[in-house]
Amino acid sequence: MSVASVTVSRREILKPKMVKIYVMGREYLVPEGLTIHKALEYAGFRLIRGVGCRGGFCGACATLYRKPGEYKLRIALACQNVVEDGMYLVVLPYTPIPRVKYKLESLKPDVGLVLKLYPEIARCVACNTCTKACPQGLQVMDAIQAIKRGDLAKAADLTFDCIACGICSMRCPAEIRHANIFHLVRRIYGKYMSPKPRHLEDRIKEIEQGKYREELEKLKQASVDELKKLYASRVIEPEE
Amino acid sequence: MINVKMLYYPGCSVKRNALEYEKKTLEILSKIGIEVYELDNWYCCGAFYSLAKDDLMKHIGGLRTLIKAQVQARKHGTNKLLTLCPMCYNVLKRVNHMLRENPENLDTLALFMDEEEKYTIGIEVLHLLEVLRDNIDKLKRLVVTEVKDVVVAPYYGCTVLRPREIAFDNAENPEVMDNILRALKIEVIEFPFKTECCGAYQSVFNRKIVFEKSGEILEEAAVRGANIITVICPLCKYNLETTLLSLGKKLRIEIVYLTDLLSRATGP
Amino acid sequence: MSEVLNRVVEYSGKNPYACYQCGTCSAVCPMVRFMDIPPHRAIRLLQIGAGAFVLSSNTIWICVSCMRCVDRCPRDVAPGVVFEALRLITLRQGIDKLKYEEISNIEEAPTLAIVSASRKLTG
Repeated sequence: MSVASVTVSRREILKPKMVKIYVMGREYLVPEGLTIHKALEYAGFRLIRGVGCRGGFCGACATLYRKPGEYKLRIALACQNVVEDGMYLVVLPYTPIPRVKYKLESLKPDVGLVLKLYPEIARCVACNTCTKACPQGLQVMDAIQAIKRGDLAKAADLTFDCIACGICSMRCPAEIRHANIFHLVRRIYGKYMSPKPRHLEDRIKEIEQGKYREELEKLKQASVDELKKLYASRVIEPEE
Repeated sequence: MINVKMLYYPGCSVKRNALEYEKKTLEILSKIGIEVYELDNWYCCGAFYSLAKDDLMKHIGGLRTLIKAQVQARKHGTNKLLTLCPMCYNVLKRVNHMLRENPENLDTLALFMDEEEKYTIGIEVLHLLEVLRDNIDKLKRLVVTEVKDVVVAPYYGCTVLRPREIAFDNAENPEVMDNILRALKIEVIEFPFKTECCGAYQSVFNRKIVFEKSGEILEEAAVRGANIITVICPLCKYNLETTLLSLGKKLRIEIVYLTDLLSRATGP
Repeated sequence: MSEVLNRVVEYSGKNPYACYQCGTCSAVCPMVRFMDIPPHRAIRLLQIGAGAFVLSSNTIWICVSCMRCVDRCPRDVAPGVVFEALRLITLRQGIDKLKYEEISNIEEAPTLAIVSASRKLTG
């Protein structure tokens, strides 16, 4: 009885499975398992827009896509999400949100001030489009409604992981500038509402009172050999 | 004392500009045996009911509130939703009514909000005045102090009694607040401007209108001998107070939330 | 048939032709003295195809939807709802009547005021 032996060349084994993606309407065959950015580069695109840290943190590469036969519009980050068969995608190069100028020192933890700088918050109709558009899976509508309720602390907490990709603002029917608003709220929270680190304040006071001045002067005057000796004999994990 | 349970929807302005209104109201309600549970993570209702027939988007804020109430109604065992702000009452009650009359709108909205449960139109929206009216005997028994030197002009505003489908009293000559105050032996004057519009949101658009309308209300109250106007709406209070200030304190009138006065009469 | 009237009927579901000019709406309107055109006359102008004239007046922007006219109208013409439809003709084109930078008391006014003004005066 002969066992049919099939010789498979090394090339065949190593050849990856290919998937079809449609970039701005044009079909490309790319290996599965690549991130969208890598797939675009495989297809011959040189990335100069809609690309940044490539680590899921800067918010530059927000991508919109649909699968054939579905109406749902989906969001991905091009540097993190892998290609799927049948993806119709576009990587957005930019979201227009010019900065509103304010002085953090002259603000208070008061909702009235946030409304004055970004009055469009009052137009929110609670449609939830922003939450559905977030690639980080944040509760965006809850954060805006928390601001409307006056709960700045909750809004700061809910938006901690926001990478300011801007898709929520693009899709919002009330034209709310989410990313900048959340940035402002987190800054207000950090400066005026979060508990102060006592040990840091104590240390700063000690430095201002000159507790470490003498030691620092001695080190500045010391020769290179003395410094080397001090460094070699330092205690790596002090007991106190 | 039999405790009645209710869900409670504060609304954006009560939590920010009218905390004393909420505090005194919750005190009074607990004295008459009503326990309230504030809705978890509530959303803004939208303040004004959108009147266009084809505009479903603007009702979503109200609908989400009602769905949240529906979910928490199961947890607390009550389907009553209490509101303090008459504008919130107006919006929520009318959204409820609209969805009951037009079930195809409910279907369209349920299709859009595909991640929430479907609303089954089971929530009963109540305003503070209704609740106080229904418990007027209990209030009478709680009077400890006779509030002296106080002559009250009760002011209702527009949104709590109009349009007709949400009214719980005669929209032309309501007596609910008058009766509640009289039950607590507080002197109430006859006040024909009690449902006259204070100017509403024109205070941010065209302030002259607010100064004229609110000014008339204040002067009429003063001419008839009132030294207090009781209100139930944070916006009416703001409009009346800013107008009072701009008149240079020529009128000896104070604007006070209704439950603040009730609190004084029923003791700490 | 005027374009304005068609849109009004589509958005509001009310029939301005039912109005027989009794004048009750103007009698009960709290804002009538600030309006260029009183409510009952605005409905009449709609009836005769002069809707554009109403759109260019300040009447519909002074109205605060207090609903007195809607409650009182004997023919269910509901001027308050008709005015909302007229407002939407402008607002749905993306033209906002409320300019946030011009609000001097945006910080002290209760949130209610800004939210309701946004609903009625912006698209």
